[in-house]
Amino acid sequence: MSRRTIHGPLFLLLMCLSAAGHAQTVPAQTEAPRAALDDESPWRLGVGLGYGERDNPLALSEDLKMLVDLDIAWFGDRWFFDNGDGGFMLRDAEHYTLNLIGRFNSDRVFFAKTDSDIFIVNLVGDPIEQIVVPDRDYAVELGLELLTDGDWGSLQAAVHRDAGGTHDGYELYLNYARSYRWQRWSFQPSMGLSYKSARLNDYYWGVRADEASFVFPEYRAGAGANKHARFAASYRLDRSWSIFAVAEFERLSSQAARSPLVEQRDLRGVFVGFHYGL
Amino acid sequence: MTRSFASLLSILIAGGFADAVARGLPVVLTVKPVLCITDRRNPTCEMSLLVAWESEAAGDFCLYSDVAAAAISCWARESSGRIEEARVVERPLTYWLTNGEPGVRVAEATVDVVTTDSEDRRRGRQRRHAWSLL
Repeated sequence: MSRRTIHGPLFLLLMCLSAAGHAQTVPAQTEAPRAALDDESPWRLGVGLGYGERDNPLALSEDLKMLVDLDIAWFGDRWFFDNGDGGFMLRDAEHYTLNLIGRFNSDRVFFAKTDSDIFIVNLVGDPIEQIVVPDRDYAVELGLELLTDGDWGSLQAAVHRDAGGTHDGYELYLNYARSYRWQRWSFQPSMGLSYKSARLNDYYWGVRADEASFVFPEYRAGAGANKHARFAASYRLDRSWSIFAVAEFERLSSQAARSPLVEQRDLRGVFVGFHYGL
Repeated sequence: MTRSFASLLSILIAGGFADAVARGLPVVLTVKPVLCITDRRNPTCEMSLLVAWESEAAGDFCLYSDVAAAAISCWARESSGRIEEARVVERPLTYWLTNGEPGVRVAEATVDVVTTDSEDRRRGRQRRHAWSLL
């Protein structure tokens, strides 16, 4: 990955932030982080108990089943930890928040649920080749994240780049969400897209020459955008307990979907259960 | 004779129950609804609250809340009571019942306030991890 490729999206994001920053008044730029001004606990701890499933796009793999979904987050004045993402708040202005994020790319999770007990056999039934879904590593990524909101809803834009030499690619992420509340009910539809560079897509969905087999021929994946939509509904029972349901849909980019490793282009995820939060 | 006996019995029972209240036998105070949910667009709840109490024994009770120092209502030799009041709630609101001794709460009930939005935008970020759907 050339440096020029990653600087493109980073530059665009920084330009947008710069323009937004110029629209601010001086006091807004120098105000203390708002997190420090309120009396919220820095911790957000929760557990979802119920049943959930997420489709695994990989061939010869199992779907991801979930019975417990933990929510562990801590928000300091600047530093924060949010369920595996580490962050540093660079700027918190009236209309937007800019964070530096360190995270693991979670596409690796799908490769942990593959089945390698499948063999190609010859005419007399002797195994001649084991079919193995290639393994992939977690990638440590660094990025910038812009959060902005208003009466119109909330927008999250981010760019993440591989920082550990795993895939050398980058991802642009955009998500729009809007919350609605009626008495004890809360609803949040959201949608967005995730553009993954060729190197990122190829690392996870490509098949290298030394991995190629009869079932998984060599394949190079190019860049593409995954689209996603989500709908979450919850009913608040009291301060701590809620009943909730989440449904997610993701459509993989054509470059990922054409991979011999991919069996399913449209991925669904659901979780229904109780949530306990502190 | 029968009437006198009944009167005596009722005095004894009432006295016994009054004593029972003093000894801390159950007095139940309830408030409905018990939850006010706020967000950025609606930072307060306009609530019509029903506050009701019931005691195992008749007695003198007064109802207070942490909104004002004065009693909201008092009852003499009653074993139950209820009031309705409209309030704009923005922080937890506690009602309590006293049985004549100022400052001694025999029952308490709270309207809890839960805020769904945070001023901290980081708390609303959507996480994108395959292992989580929350």
